[in-house]
Amino acid sequence: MPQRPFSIARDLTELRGALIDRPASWLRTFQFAAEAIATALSPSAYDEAARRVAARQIYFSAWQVLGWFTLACAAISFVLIRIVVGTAQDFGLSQYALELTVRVLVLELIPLFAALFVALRSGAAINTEVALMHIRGELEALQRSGRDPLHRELVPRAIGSVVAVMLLTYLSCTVALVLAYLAMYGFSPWGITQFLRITGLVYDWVMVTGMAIKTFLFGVVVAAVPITAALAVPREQGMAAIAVQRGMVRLGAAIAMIEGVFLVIMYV
Amino acid sequence: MSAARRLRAASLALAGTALIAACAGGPPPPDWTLNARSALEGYEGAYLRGNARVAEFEFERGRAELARTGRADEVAHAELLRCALRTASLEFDECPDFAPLAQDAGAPARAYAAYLAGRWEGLDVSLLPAAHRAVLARGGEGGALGAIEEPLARLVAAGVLFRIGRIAPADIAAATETASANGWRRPLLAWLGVQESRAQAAGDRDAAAAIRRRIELVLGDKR
Amino acid sequence: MADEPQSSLPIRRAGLKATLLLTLTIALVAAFVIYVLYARGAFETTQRLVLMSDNSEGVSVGSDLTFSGFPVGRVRRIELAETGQARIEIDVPRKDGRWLRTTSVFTLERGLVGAARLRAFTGNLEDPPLPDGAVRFVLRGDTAEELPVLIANLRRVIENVEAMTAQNAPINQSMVALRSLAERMSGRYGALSGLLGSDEEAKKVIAAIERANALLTSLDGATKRLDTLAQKVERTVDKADERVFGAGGVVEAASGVMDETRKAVAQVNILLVDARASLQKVDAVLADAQKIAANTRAATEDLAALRAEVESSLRKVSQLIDEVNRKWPFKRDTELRLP
Repeated sequence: MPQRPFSIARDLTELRGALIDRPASWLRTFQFAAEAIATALSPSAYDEAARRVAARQIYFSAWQVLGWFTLACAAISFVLIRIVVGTAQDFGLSQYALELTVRVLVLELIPLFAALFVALRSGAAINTEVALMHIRGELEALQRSGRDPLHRELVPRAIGSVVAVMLLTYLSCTVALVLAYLAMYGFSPWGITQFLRITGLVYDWVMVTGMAIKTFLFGVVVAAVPITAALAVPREQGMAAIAVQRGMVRLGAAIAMIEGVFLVIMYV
Repeated sequence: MSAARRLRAASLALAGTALIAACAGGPPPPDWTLNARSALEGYEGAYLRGNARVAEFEFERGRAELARTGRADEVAHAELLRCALRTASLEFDECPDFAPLAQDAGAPARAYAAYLAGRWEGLDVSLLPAAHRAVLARGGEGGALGAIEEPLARLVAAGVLFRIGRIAPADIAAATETASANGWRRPLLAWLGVQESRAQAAGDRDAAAAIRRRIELVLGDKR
Repeated sequence: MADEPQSSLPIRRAGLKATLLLTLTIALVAAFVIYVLYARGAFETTQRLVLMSDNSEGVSVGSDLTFSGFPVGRVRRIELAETGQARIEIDVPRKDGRWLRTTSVFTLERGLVGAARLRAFTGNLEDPPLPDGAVRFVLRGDTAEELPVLIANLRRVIENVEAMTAQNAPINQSMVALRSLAERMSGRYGALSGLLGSDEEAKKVIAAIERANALLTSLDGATKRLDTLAQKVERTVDKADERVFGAGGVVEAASGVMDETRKAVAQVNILLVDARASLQKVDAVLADAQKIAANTRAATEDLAALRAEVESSLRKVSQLIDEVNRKWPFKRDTELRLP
């Protein structure tokens, strides 16, 4: 890769170029996402090779990190819950503590955290892989050999990342709920009724559906945006880095935007 | 302090502590001290003003109050008061009511009785009230009377001096004026009577007539 | 964290693991859905309770209806009824419905801060249970509404207290008067000086009482003396009687002896004289008593008696006067002037 002299102006230009200058790329992202969803929903896409790719993706994105991620999430959740519940109990507002924790932690923080984690890890990986495949011309080779690269390589990756994000989110949410119960009531079973009541109060259908859709969307963009960015660069030797850079920046923006939109919808 | 008043205070000496306690808000003094005191005061006033009946009545009452304590010195002091008042009014006698109590009355009382009676030989001056010590010391030669401030004491001293025959005309005049100043009929009449007889004896008829008019004035308002 | 290029490395049983994870994800989603359903009471049968209130401020959908501090119902819906009142629909789970009876009372409390609280109270748990769809009026208590009234009342009370404790208020003046009375009462003569106003008055009253006492004693004595004198007189008369009429008396001896009669008469005379003397004494005592009764201020000034007494005493001392005359002859100016 040719060395680029350091310059803030140049980086900003790059950034702007990554975000704004190419509205066409956002369009392509939506296109790809729609195609991916449609493909995922049709059973004919699940042939052996695609399943293998998806399985690999799931393996890399979820299996490898499941234990550590759940543990890390549990630790962070536990700390947060202790802080909130402890402070609230000092003020005698313990019932509100639970509500607060459940709403903020489970509905907002954990999905976001999981999405960012998967994005940072698997999104970057997907980005690099697809960019390299694109630059090396492997996708065109697949196209010429009659196998749709979309079905073969790209969609399975998207499916894998969706599953990974959702799995990590829901598992950590469950762990967080359990930790919240333990923090409030300890190991006794007598708080279950009240716990159910409070969480039931928080999880009305709007919230639950919203969270499901948000998680799903996070999963989709974690794959879609990097893939689109990777496919957009010219097939030159040094373009992989640019592709990854653009992809990651756009992915970050996309996640932030989704989160923002959902916050507005839910709470305003 | 006058003899009579000193006597009264001395006669209530044992009750004095009770009086002081009463003034300080302690337990009230026994009623016999209060009753006796008021009776003897009444007696003194009535006697000197010339109400013999009331004076006698009051004296009897006071004496009875003191007598019910059984204390001879208290009763003796009442008797000495009477003797002193009679002496001040030139009614001399041997104080017969004091005699039976003299034994138990104490040395100051006996000294005072002797002083009143004119038996001055061998008399211990320190046992007498202060006012009369000077009289005793001077022996009645000139002007001892004027030194006594208390009018009743002055009259008593004058009476005593008269009794032993050592009185001077200035003293007679002083006694008369004292009695007149206090409105005490009985001693006043007595001393005026003395002056009248002296005037008559000297043949000064105008003076005698003036004195007689004065006497009539004193005796003038008959009821 | 960097991944190997996916084509190079075979992963052991990747398919199995992926399937496992996929299954786990779906299971988690399903469990979550069921959990939410359960928590929101989709599996509970409920009965409906409608509360009518004239003001439903502070009540929101999802608020609880509590009974003894435990939630027994949840507000499903709040709307405006035809009558203009607020209509609060509450879902009560069947298992909690046994706490609500037809005679239950429902209140809506609103403190100064915080949301409104719906509370149910049941006095008698033996009454028939609340039917489904029952409509009840809710009793409202709103602290914020009571505050102005409370403050106005408080202000009035404070004004009254101020008026009562002002400088020239009647209570103050009464207190001052009471204090001066108490001071007087703590003086020498106690309540008497308090009543009369000063110690001197009290002293006069006491002196008057003492004199009255003395008077009564002397009257007593006088009557006693009267009594004894009367007895003496009686006895004298009896004796005279006896002498005259008794054995060996005058009448008996009258027939005979002249001396006896004369002696007897003489004796009778003596007795009569005695009686007279006694009567005179009674007279004197009566006169005394009369004088004492008549002159309570002891102002009997018998000047004639005084004159007589003084003259008699002067006569007695005439010798002494002569002695003085001898020593000091009468000189007008020295004697009749102030020394």
